[in-house]
Amino acid sequence: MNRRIFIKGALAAGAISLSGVDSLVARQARSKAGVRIPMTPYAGGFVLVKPGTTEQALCETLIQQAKTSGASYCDVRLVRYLTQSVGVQDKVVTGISDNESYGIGVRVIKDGTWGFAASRNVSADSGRTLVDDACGMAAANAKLQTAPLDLAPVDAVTAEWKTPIKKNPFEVSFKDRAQFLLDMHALAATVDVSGKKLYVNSWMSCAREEKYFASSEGSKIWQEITRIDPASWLTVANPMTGDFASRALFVLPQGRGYEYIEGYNYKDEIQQAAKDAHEKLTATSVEPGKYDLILHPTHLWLTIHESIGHPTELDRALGYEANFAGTSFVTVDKLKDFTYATDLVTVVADRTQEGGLATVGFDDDGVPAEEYPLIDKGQFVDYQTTREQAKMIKEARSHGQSYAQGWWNIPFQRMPNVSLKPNEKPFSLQDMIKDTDKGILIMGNSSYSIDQQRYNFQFTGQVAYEVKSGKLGKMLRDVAYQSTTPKFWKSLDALCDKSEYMLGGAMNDGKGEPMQSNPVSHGCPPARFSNIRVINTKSEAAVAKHTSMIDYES
Amino acid sequence: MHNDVLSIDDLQSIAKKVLSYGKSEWAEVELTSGHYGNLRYAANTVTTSGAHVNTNVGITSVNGKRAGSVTTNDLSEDGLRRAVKRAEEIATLAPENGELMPPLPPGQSYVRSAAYDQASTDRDYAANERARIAQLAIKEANLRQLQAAGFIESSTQHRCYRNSKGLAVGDEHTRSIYSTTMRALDGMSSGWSKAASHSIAQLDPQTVVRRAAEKCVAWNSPRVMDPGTYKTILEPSAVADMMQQLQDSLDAREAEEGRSPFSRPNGTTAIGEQLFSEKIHLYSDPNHPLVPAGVYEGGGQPLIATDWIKDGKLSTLRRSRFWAQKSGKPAVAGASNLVLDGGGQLPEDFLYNVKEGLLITSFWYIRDLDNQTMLKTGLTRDGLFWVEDGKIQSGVVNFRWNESPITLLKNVIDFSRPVITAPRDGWDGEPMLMPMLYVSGFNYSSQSDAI
Repeated sequence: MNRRIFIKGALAAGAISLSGVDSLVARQARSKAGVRIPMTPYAGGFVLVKPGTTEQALCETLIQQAKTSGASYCDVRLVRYLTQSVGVQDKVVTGISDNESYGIGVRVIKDGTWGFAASRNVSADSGRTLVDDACGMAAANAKLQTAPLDLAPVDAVTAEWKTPIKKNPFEVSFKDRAQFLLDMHALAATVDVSGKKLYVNSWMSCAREEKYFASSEGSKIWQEITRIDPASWLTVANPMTGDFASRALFVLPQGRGYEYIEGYNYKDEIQQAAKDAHEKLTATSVEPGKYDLILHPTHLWLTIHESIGHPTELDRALGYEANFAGTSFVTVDKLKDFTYATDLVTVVADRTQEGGLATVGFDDDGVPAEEYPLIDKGQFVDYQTTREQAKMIKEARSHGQSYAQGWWNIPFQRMPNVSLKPNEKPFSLQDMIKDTDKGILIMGNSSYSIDQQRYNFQFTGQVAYEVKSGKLGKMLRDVAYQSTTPKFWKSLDALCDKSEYMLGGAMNDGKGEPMQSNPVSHGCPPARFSNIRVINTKSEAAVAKHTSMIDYES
Repeated sequence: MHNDVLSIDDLQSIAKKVLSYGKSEWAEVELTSGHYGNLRYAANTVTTSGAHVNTNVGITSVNGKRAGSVTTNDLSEDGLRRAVKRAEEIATLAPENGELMPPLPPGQSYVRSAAYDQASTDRDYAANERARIAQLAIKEANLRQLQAAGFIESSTQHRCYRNSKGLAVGDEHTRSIYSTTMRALDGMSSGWSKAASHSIAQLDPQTVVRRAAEKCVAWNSPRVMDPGTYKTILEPSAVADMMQQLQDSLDAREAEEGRSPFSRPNGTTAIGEQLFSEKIHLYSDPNHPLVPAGVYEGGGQPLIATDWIKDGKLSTLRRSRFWAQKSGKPAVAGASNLVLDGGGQLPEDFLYNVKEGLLITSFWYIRDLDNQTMLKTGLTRDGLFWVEDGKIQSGVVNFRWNESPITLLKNVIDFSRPVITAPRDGWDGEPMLMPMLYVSGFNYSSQSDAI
């Protein structure tokens, strides 16, 4: 995840929108640069393009024009992003925002090379310029290209897909959304923190992507993707000593409607979080050493993201991200010939997963969503691919992992939902704790840092508990664990069943230059990893004094 | 022309129009119009390139202590009217925000900044330059039998702010960044370098390409060193990463509420404390001739030259207008750039005088470990070397490190002349002016095999 984006949070994130208030107003206005194409209004927002509208005709015109200009392939994406955010700090609503961004992106292949141009100005005149710019760019860059692009085939479709939501978050009033968070903060404030100061910050944002995709191969795809992104974090500070401790709520974004907020156990958890932050202040600092780690799904999802999701991205393995996100230790020669994990581990890439942030009907190449294994019983069997990449590893079809953050961005290979399958045999978290002699249970995500080949990592959680002789013990603080990816996944020796399965995720996985954000989810049950190196972050802070305690892994 | 960047005058007249549609007690409008072009290459071939143009308008309408904010890029009259109406509706719905401050009145004074390079705004010229730079890197990589990956972006951006009390300000800037990685064909060695400037002509891509290639070649067959604390030389870009981390915590409210490394008991702060080496002078200045930057921040608040650390003492913390009022102290705006003063020698010459230490080219994946001490963790990447008697002796296998920017600035032994640079990890700001730093200790916690 990208740290800076995360800090800025949803309130600063780009795009959002109008709801139905003015929906009866026809949008026929003239902009400075020509006629702006009207959108069809409907309650709750705008239906962007339906077959037969002016916009669809514009897309077809631009595709024809690109062909005439010598493009061998062209796609046009018309996308509107709507985002609404509510931010609350303690008892104060610090911000309500409503953001909208609408524009058109034209992508072509000419002389075997990509070209791309995009504008907020959705009109025939503007579109003509974009096609010229994209074709010009492709032709100019073709001189720098070693081999022409060769897209894997895809069937042309005319289709519609919408995130199956039960309650449209855009139709819940801002007032109700803000009041919900204020009520939660009031509940947190009832927790006794022994006279110390409690600070609570929350936000809730919802986002919708309304996207029309048309390609020179005849696809016409309309999608409406809805996501909801709540977050809260609580800090207890002791003003006398300057000590403070924080605990973030375990609630994470999902590809669902407002029903997700209403169904989440906010009331209990926000009070628990205040208690946890308070308890953390005086919790026992962890003794560094080797432990069996029980990683709860509220934590493990991000470990999966960093150490399985990223290494199995084909663009990284091919060196396309060498200058930024990095490469991958899972090089192409390891495909179908590498033991990634113990045979308890099966990990699937799945853009069809219910509630997943990366769940779509079709990717931004027009390839239908599917579920397929990346790791099958511990063996590395496949990568995440796009139409551009599939043939590079001699696969006939793309797995459909192309995605662009905005109408203004070039689509490229992005992570789908990548999830760890639960144990088919019954095994509960209680069973796992009972079965552990010297361990630590970690819940929630805090600090995640992993190298550019996704090999060496150091992660921390929100809360940690001692597990001793089969029993859950006291809270521990300052816990970080360090390992290397295959060694770590080969140490997985116990896995819970589907009754403990949870879906985590993030809106802001960063990759590419310019960097694009990708929403992605990861499901998993609790899992245990044996004999993992745990360090104490506080003693690390004391720098040189403690270096003698540090062993290292080669 | 279609798809043009709108001039500041055009943006101001849109802002005026937006304000004229409003019925709220007061309102403010912010507009940004920009063109952004980029090119990527990898595996010695061009991969993607693109350009886009956009204009965004942000409108905040306020009644009493209730505010509503809307952004849109629909600049049609109908679109703007709709956005204003929506902002006013949200302001009605919103609960009161006790921390909302009244708008700044007219008569603010702004510095002038020279962040606009006319030549860089020529789209054809900039596109040709991007292609020329890519070609240069690919040619060098082929010549040396290496693999190049890189990214060139150049942009033009105009901004304006206007409120219904009559305050209006605008600025414009251009920015170009170029970075490249050179890797051995077998993936067993890697080098990186980066340049940033408001002018594309000042990027000096030859030097960037040469440095990345030389680092890749020099790193071959690295030695393994034990984790521990070593004297260390940080290249300017790595220093910029650490200073960006430090800057995030320079906040008075967090400190006075007891939530920051600069908190002291009973709501006091570390301002005035000798936290750093007395050589350290960290400041921001939007009018700096080498790193010109934006002249205002949110709400039209002027950005001015500000000392953050002077003679090794923490001099000030940014203080929002609300917190200023609440604490009875003057507001302190943030920073649009950062400058860390240094010595007289250029980085290359400075290295000749270093007796011994590890040389860090760049950092990766910097994350918080302990907020009370500002302890961070991260990795070294694309060029870690052992230096002895002013010469690179060998590459060193990468490390994970755990270190605090505060400790880093405390441990400074010496520094080079500052040069224009930019952080590597998660950066989207203005170029910075940073020296190479030589520090008495840096804490490496484990070996990282990644290349």
